[in-house]
Amino acid sequence: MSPAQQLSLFLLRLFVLLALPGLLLLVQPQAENSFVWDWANVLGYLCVFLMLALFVFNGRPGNFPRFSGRFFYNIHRDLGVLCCAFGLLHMAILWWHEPLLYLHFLPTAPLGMLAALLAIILSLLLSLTALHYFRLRWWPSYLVFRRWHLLLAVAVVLMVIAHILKAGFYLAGPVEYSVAGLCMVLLAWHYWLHRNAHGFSGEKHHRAQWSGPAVVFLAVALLFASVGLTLCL
Amino acid sequence: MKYLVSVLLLIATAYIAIASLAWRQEQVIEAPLLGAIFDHGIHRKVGCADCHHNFTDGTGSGSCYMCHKQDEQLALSIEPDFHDFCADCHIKAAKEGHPEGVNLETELGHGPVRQCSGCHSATP
Repeated sequence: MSPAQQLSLFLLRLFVLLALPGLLLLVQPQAENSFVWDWANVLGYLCVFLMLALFVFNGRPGNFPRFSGRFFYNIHRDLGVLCCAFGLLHMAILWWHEPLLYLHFLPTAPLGMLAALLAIILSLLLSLTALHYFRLRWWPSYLVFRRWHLLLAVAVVLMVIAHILKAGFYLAGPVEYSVAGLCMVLLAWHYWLHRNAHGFSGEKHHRAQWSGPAVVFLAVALLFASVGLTLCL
Repeated sequence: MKYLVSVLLLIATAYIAIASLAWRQEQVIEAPLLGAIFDHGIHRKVGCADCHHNFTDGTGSGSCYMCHKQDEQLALSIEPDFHDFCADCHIKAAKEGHPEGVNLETELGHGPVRQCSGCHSATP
């Protein structure tokens, strides 16, 4: 299989994985048609799934696509940037649509909203401190960086889960919880597949520079898909 | 030495977190109420005691504000309490297929379920 075909398949797999929250929205009986509101929340769910996908594609080499380990490192970094971008978009669009939401940036905001705010700030810090330039200067060793990066990433995920459960939108009934559970199982399966591939990195092709355009392409595809899905709601 | 610094850092973080939460509670209690638009006329289908529960359960005889804002314990949960109470009813009606707004002939419909400005104005 040519490198381009391998990359296409890899992107398709990522796209399917990240499109899973769509199921969650489709099973939800819609109470009101508000395109901007729903779309902003689709972006929020995309951000969460990207966050979880970052634990699957965690920067360590896998056996597919058969690219160098540097590609997997870059794809983790670029997906992390995309995750922050979707998170910020989720926040900015909702704020623009509902100016009263500035109240959720104050200390008196509900705890679920404060958790999301802290999660966004921590995510930005996580991304910044993981950049090669800062990582070499700020962290005493790679091991210390890795431990703190993982610890803070888990904290961010827990805060985001608290935010989703407290907000109560879309995830508020047995059907929705079942679909969310199924999505988690599929993600865990991907984690297991990728974990088993650690150490078997195919060094056949050095395609580290492909990660940037691939993630941009994925972002555009996800944005189109999210608009399409929201119009279907 | 390393462990001592770690333990001290952990204690300091816990102290800051607890102090911040206590400070936040004071802020929530003192925060002014966000103005809400409520029309009794379009809520005629809702039983009086569904909202004015204090007149039937003997928990007081004043307005919502007198307990839910002036009682410190209740004031801490005023936001989720009222959102759950109002929005849940609106969402339930919406999921039952009632149209948005109120049909004056049938008196059926549902109130805002997502838009903050549907119920709230910026001034109290």
